Amino acid sequence: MRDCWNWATATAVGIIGIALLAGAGGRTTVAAQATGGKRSVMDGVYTAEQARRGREHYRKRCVLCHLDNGQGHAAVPVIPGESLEREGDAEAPAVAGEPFQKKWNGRTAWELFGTMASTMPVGGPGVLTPQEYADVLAYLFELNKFPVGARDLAPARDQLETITIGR
Amino acid sequence: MSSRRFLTGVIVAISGLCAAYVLNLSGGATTVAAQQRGELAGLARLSGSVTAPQAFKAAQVYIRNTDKNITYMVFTNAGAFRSLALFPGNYEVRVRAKGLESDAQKLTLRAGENAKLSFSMRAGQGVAPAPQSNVTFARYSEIYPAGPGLEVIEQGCMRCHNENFIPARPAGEDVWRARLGHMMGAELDTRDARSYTEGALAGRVQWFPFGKKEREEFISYVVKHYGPDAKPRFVRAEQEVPLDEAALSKAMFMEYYLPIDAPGTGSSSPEFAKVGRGIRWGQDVRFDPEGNVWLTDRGYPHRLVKLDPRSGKQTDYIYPGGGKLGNHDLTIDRFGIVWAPEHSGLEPEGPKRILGFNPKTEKWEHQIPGDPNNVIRNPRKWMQSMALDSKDNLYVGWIMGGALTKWERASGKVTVYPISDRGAVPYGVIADRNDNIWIALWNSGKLAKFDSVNEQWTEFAPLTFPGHIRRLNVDAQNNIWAAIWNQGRRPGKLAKLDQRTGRFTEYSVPLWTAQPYDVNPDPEGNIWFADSPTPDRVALINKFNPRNQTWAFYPKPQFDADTPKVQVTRDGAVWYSPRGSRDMPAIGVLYPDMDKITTLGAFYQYGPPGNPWPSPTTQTASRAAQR
Repeated sequence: MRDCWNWATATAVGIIGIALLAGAGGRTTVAAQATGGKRSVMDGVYTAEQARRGREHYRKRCVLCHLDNGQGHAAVPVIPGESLEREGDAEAPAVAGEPFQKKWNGRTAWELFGTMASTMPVGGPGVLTPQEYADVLAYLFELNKFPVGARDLAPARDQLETITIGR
Repeated sequence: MSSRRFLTGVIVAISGLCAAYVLNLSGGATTVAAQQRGELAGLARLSGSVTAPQAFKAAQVYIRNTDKNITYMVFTNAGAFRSLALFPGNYEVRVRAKGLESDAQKLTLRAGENAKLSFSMRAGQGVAPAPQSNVTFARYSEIYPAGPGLEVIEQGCMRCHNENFIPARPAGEDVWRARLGHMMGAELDTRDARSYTEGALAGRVQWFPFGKKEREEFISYVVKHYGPDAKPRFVRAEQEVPLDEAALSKAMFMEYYLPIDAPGTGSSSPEFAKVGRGIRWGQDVRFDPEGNVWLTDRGYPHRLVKLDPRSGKQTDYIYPGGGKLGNHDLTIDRFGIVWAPEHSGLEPEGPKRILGFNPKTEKWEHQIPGDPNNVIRNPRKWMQSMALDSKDNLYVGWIMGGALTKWERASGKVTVYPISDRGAVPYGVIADRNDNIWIALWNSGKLAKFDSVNEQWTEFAPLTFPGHIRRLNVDAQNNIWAAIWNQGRRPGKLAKLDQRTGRFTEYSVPLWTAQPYDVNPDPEGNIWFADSPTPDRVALINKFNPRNQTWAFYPKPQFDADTPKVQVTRDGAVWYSPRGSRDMPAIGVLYPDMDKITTLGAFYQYGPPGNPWPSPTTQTASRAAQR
């Protein structure tokens, strides 16, 4: 019974999430068309104020595993003799710096946004609104020293798909 | 004939009959011993000498059979070493000591050969792993200066996280507050706990200084000493491991390495390469009635590994469901069935089963739902350790879920008993002679006893409480033994509960940083325990003799590989897996006295499941009948 309830809840959350994303996308289609063409994160695709909002979400939801500046788990030294279970540490990849940029180089902001929204935070994916996920994404761009721009990054597929990650 | 002569004749006759009887008995034993000598006769020996430009003690001689992927390790005594029971084949041999190492020498050994080698060591890396460039060592008092907040760390954090955990993770205040929030379960009003550690310090924790004031002192302390500008540090070992070179020179280790999967297969397959670190990961060992050693491999895909130590042959059996639903412990019943419950795995919220593997059919013949009536309400519930009572009923602890499942063999009935301790995290589970089930509670450091007849719980707190206890065991006198890890300046301990008196006695390990994991008695009543390593102190297998309260320390071949479980044979050999090994996962054994090896097979004194008394007993039936 509980399993059924969980399945139903998960399904409902998923449908709502998709609807939110789709809705947000619809609202920004015009904006995306207005900008036209492909863009890069080097073109200034978020604002400093948005990154500030994203940092607040990052502090609450992400910093435990991805650490202060997005270094991720790799920044924690292996303690020789420590059990492989490494109680207390989560397996979190870097979300800033060379490893992150190498991993996501050439992929779109929409792919990263989708990964974040569908898997993060561990144990509670989808707890943030689409706008909040976009704000966190803006903060990650700031951590990676991608330049700020004049307009917020919108949680819109047709806009995010036009943005390529990479220098 | 005088009566005296007659009496003498009778005595002689009786003596002769007795002698004949004794000879007959020993003849039987001799036959077995002869067979076992036959097993060893086809093996080889290697001895030799080691020199170095500086004094050394108990250098470790690594003798690697490159054909069978087995390493023997023995210790020098005054520069001399010897080894035996070496499989014929090709070998690479090298010697290491603290700060010293030799070149490797190759040789081929034939059956029955007794070869000799000489080595010269020079300054080098030695037995310890290469230091990490971004980490420095410092004394405990330097890393942990006095001040508000230190008490929280020493009495709270260090109970589970050792003294290296915090200084190895410098971070800013946001991270430290998030870490504190994780332990307080700050997010558990919006989602479920991810593991049994999350929220462990939530609520009214009465055992630790952990109020709001102390938490703020903790934050101030860690930000000051382990803040974003600090460098990761480890605590330097301030005490050499006390080594008895003469005793060590009698000992021999063997490690049978697990074959590394070919690229693209097994743990390296696209499905598992990322989820399981792409490695094999040995956990617990047990013996079957035929002398084989069984291992749980927690890498992905999960496998049972069967090792025949007499040949070195290994056979893998992947768990049902593709080997991804979690595994941890195993036990073997007296019928030879290998039991292995599901743990967390890649579906941590899925239903978990008790699995039973029949080596004869090579099939998983039992797949029993562990909580069919959903007694445990946690969405995540994982099974771990097991015990068998005298009726062959199986008891399984839910490390995530805080309960004990009983599977009655005769009826097939499954009953789940919630553990009485609040927030119980049951780790090791064992059965005593009276069919009481004993559980080490990791959350508190208490021992819980489940009376399987009355279905009642009783909790016992050792003198050192709260403490970090993972495993426990029972000796032939029905005493319960548990291992308590060190905590800050407080040394690790062994605790014995005498069930007749209800009295605990504790013995401090004379090695400050001891982290005794599992405990296991040998047929002579010694207590063997695995001792987890620290960054600059070797992993150990240790012996405690309760009769004269002496200790012996045996450095393991892999310096930094911890071991969760030890099992002792009827001959006193101690089997284990170097679980923490990142590149040489294995099944290992320590022969404390290699001259006493009669077989490489691994046999319990009284057969599976490994109790230090004959099984089955009828005491439960007797007790039930008396009620």
